[in-house]
Amino acid sequence: MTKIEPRNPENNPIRIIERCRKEGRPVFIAGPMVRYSKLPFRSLVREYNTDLVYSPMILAREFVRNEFARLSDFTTNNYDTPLIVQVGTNNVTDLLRFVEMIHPFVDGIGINCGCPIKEQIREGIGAALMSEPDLVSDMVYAVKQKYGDKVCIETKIRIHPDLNETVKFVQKVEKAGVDFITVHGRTKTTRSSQPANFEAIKLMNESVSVPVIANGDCFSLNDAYEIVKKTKVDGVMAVRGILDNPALFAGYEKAPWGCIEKFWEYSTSYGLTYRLLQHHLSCMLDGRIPKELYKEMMDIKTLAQLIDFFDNNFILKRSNEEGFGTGIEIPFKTQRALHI
Amino acid sequence: MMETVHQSLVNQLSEITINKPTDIKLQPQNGEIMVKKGSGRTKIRKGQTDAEYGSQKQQFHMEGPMLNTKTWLEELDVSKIDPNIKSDRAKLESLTERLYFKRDYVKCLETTKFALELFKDLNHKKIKNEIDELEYLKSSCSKKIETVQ
Repeated sequence: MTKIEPRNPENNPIRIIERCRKEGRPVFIAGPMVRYSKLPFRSLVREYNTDLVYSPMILAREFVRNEFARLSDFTTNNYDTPLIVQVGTNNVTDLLRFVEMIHPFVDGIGINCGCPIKEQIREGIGAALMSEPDLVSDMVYAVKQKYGDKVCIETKIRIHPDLNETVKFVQKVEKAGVDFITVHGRTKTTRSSQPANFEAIKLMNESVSVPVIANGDCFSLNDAYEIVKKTKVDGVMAVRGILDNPALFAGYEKAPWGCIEKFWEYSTSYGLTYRLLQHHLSCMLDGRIPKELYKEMMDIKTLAQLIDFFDNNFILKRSNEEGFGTGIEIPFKTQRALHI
Repeated sequence: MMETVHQSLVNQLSEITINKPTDIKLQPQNGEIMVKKGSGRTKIRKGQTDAEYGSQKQQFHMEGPMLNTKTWLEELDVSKIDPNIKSDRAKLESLTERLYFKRDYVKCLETTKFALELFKDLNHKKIKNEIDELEYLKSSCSKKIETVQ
């Protein structure tokens, strides 16, 4: 039976931030995505210059009370590092219990203060915490009091309509001992079609001395460097951008074909629910294959049929074949497929 | 009558809905917390006693998280699969998919037949997608093996 190895201190997020500072480059981060930041996707983005990877948000309340929730929410292995597990919580007790259980298996723990989903907000989780600076500080303080440097703790926040409120918020959690802060440059009601407010992120960075990571509107490596130029932060987190293009931080404009082959390999070996696999592939291929082929792919009901669909329409190499994982362009098998 | 009233109160206590949150004293040390419902009313999420948490912690400490290595599916002891447990069925299904992806059609066919046999007494209406995929794999593997021969 495989045993999980102790964490490598070099993969502590703070060590990674320090290392990247020395190298004179930003930290590249794949942010947490509800449902999608599962083990196969995390393994994939690490192959393409992603320094730090988040798990999807895990609800502390469920994790500490329910074995089935633990099985379905958190699968890992010895290569699943550096990893920050994102937690959704609304009280100190659940958080401390969650940290006690999970910290030997992760490199850091991030408190979600940014999720705008109304079901979570009603529960006092996610962006609801932006109105509870004292509670967030208490949670951070409780973890740091108990574990000190043994546990790296981050808060991922959104901005308030009044930025003074956000400044007070970040200063408060910094005082409580947070290790670093990720700032999404939107309020909890700003639509993703509206541009992220990088001036606000810059202001937060100037207001604290702990490292700050910028989140919002990172769709390419060039965007990442532009965001750092505007905000002077230590790192950039991509979320929607890296879902469409997991090779974003390696400088690819679109997901290279080799990335799609690797995703198949990770998904079928580690195991991934069919609908999640289909969604990932649809994000990576949207606008890049003919519409009728795309529709055909979206209508497929099982993973076995999707394997046949790929083998019938493309050259999909397996890991034991020469050239696996190295292709860039989509290798269509038929002439029909050449017309997008 | 008293017993009925008592039982009714016990049932209500599992998820109390109240109008005046200030009337209720919470036990935050157990993780008990008050949340808002969509209707605007307030609900108390039950806490977790130290003993309840202790048993969860012990289970996780003993077994650890689910480890998915590159070969874990192919190393599964399929004789231990309980067809009545959804996550067990999912493991077996993932194994058939993995073998099909690797183009190991002989082993895939063998595993698919095993799964169909194991699931035969279950309500097929409730697991229609699983059965459909297994039937597809059985037919497709058979054709591919025939083509090679």
